[in-house]
Amino acid sequence: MSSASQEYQPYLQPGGFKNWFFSVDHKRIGLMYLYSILIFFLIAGLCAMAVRAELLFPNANHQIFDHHGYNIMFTLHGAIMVFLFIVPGIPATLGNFLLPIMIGAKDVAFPRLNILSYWIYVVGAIAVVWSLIGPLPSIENGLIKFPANWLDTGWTFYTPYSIQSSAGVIPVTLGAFILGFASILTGLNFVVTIHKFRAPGMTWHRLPLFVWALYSASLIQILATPIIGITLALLIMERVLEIGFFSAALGGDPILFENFFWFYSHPVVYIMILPAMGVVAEILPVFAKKPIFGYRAIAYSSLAIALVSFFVWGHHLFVSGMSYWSRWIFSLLTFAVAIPTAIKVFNWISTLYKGSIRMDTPMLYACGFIFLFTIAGLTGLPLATLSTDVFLHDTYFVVAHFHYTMQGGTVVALVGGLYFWWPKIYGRMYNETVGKIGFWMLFLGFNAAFMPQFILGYMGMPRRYADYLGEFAELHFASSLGAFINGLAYVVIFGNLLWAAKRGKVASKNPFNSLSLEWTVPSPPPLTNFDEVPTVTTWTYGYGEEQNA
Amino acid sequence: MSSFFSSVTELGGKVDFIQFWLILLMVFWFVACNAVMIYLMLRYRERSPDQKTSPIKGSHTLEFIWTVVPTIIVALIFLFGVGAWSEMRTMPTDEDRLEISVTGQKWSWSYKYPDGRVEASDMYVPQGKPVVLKMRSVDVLHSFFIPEFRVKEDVVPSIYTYLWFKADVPGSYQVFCTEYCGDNHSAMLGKVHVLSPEDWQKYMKNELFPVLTPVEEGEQLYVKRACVGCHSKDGSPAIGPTFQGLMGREEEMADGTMIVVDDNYLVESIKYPNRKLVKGYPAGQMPSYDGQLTDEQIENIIAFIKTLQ
Amino acid sequence: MSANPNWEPGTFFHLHEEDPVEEYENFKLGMWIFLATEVLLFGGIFAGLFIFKYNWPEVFRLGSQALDWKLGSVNTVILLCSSYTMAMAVDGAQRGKNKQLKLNLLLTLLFAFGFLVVKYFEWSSKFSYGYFPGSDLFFSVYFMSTGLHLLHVLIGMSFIGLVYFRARQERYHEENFGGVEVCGLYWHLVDLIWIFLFPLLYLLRH
Repeated sequence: MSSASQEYQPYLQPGGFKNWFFSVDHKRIGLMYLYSILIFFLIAGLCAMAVRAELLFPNANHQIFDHHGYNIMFTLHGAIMVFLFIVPGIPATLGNFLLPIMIGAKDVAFPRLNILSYWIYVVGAIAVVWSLIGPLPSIENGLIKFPANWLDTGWTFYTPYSIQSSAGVIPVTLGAFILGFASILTGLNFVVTIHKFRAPGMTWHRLPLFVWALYSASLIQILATPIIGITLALLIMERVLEIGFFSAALGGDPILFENFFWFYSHPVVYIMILPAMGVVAEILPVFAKKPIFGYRAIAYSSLAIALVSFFVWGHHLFVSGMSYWSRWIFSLLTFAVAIPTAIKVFNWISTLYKGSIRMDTPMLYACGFIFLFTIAGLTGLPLATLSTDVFLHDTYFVVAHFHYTMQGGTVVALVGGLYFWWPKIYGRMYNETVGKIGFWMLFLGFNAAFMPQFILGYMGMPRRYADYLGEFAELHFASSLGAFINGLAYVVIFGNLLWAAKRGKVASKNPFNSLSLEWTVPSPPPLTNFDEVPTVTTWTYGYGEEQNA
Repeated sequence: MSSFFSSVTELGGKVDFIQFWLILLMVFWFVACNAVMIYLMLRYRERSPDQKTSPIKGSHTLEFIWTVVPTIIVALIFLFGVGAWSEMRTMPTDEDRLEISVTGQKWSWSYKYPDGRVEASDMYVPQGKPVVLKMRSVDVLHSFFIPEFRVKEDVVPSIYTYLWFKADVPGSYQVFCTEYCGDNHSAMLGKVHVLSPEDWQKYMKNELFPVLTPVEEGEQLYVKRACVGCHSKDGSPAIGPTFQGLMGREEEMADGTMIVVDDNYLVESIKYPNRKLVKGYPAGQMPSYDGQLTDEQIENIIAFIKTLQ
Repeated sequence: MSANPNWEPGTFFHLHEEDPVEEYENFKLGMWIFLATEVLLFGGIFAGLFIFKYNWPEVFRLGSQALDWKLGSVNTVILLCSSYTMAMAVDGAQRGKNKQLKLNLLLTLLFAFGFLVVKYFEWSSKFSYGYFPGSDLFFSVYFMSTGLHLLHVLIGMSFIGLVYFRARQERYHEENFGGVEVCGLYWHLVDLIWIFLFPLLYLLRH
């Protein structure tokens, strides 16, 4: 392929704001997306630390915020994490960077829509941040007090509270609305790219599983995001014109908002987790030196999850006054998600069988993902079961469950993916020892933070509480300590990566002996990826064949 | 709070039974998956760079098995899980059932009994009799949750929602609001007191509690109906004006007029809080207590406010 | 059009040439996907319409009767005509008849403008009778759905305007008509949504 041309220019050159911000190169856009979402990951992470600090002890002994302040903190944590960090999460960063290279294309189908998507993201982010502009937080009676215009509705914006709250709901919902367009454009771009830009010989069944996962996630992005768009637009209208869709006064229905909201926000969970599963499916075979087990089962189960995800939103409304049979059917459908998910887990684990396994940092993350994700998936069962969900609904059990999917799943996979592809992105290696320390801090801190929350849930502790009864104190204390370690782990993890980007040892073209196309181009890749269009003749996962031949 | 597996209702016991088996199932699958994974990680760790690996790419038999087995398991869980829930969602029609209207508002619960009595924050129910709650919110979404009874249902402004339980063990049980409803969501607590038949008789004849003076009852209501969340009694600033020295104070209204606070103003403000707002306090914060408090209760609260000079 | 030499290759303003046939295929697939998102966007309002209509049939009956079905019909006809001229424009582009293309684009714009005029009279008459969004659920649905549709008409008109501008530069011919066709797809969707809105709002009045 690339004949080791001496004068190749890596995509990182030339620098300068103009050449990056107006770039249509998918790799640059992916990288800009990455740093943008990490800024918001930091902000939302700090909010989480504030939440856990407040919950260290019951209010009687210790208080940092008043209740209103606490509510603002968990709202900002949730809203920023969901809309600004984890939805663009893997697709817009690793997906943007890798998808075209993995299928042998020089860019996505619509490079200009791609940068437009990033600009829209920036505008949406500004709108969200706009809601915070105004008076600054102050200290009153020893408590930190936030201004009244900061959002306090929870990231779910449930009506009628979000209609009545004096907080700046409009800028945030407008921001989320705008961010939806960025998400749609990314999804649309990916689908067209995968359909039309595969290199000769790159048939559907030779596609890397990460591409399959992105394809499935993109379909959800395209089909679910418009619903949140119209829902948030109607919520804004509700606040501006009092149209009455979601308020009881005119005969509208607050539950309708919940239905609309979850029609998007449940599938969106799979926008977050499917690409994470794809990352894991890429890492496992490389470090086990083995073909992925059950390629087609993994690929099709992604599509199956995408499909089923549209029919399960009702399980968020199991105690919302929905009719008997609606609850019955939604419970049944929800269980259907468990099947393709289980298939994936079994196939991943089987990939390790008779391999030659190196436990480098990316592989630690991949196996850590499986460990944490089995917990996430299994704890979904009592939430899908009607009898037990009634008890567990809106308790800390739910909080722990979705943090196991979102952080234990998506974030762990994102970090693992960054470690895995960092040598490709920057052409430099991270520090292996520090990488492993980071993983173990994250793994232990995370479990310490969220394991106790399952027990809190079983004890009946409701979520979104600024204060709690004495009997919950020990578990909350443990959870907070775990959360601080969990937070600190990210300093190590990202410190290592940032250090590597500048000063790490120069990496070879293919340090992990991976077989997929992105490792056949120089690191960092040149602007147009390939000197000439590659022709694909084999499956991506033929690992170990040379030794065994 | 009592631990997970000691619900005090029969139905709660059934939920716990399902819960127990689900936990066993979760633990089993968690251990099974991860034990295999960790075993494989150790057994097949790289010992030399040219270690042979298997070219195996999959197995239709295995795929079939691990599609069918989880399908059967989740189908069973579903069916198993409908039973107790179905009972939970079927409101009893027994002759001797007690129907209580529950109203949720920011940030307190109130209960209206068939005989017209109104309780705030604490609900009293007879032991061993089915109790049906007919619930409605006057403002935002709330959710009525009694962990020990394993029941929960949202309280919504647009529709009535229902919930029932039959408590077999006398005692006091915690009530939580589990749907986020604003500033004092975490303080929207209450108790359910399950009374033995003798105590229930006394309660119905108003003999269970000592007779309170109007001021004492007013002070209780001040706490139970969550006035305390927004109106301090020591002059410290809060969401609403302080009660200290309120009676007789001259306040400037939002429209600039001056009003001397008297009984009539207080009654009006409790029933229709948004009519005459003190300057600097936004509208829409306080729910209307019209119909939520009896006239006598309002009188007692005012009597209590008068003592705060 | 040539690239600005000040911009590096790979930047937004550096226009790179693609094979028009290939670009056309991608463009069309992209537009179909986008149209799917549009349908879902309106789907939310339609869902609201059906639910509220089911819950409050009386409100919707009275509301429907307060609408002027004649003006609605006029607008339906106008949009159908505009769809026809749009199709003729695409036909002109495909066959390289630039004159037919330009004329039909102008006619489409004219019809769209006519739609706006009728809409203006319709809305202002509703306002003068005191019907606003929030008057009741019917009028909320009415103003939200027709308002969102109106927004799409405006976006469609800008799109057609852009295509017309490019047609004047002789950008379209037998081998390159993707832009016109995709614009046509969008415009037909705008028409189609109205075809659903019209009977649901104006005609179901009993």
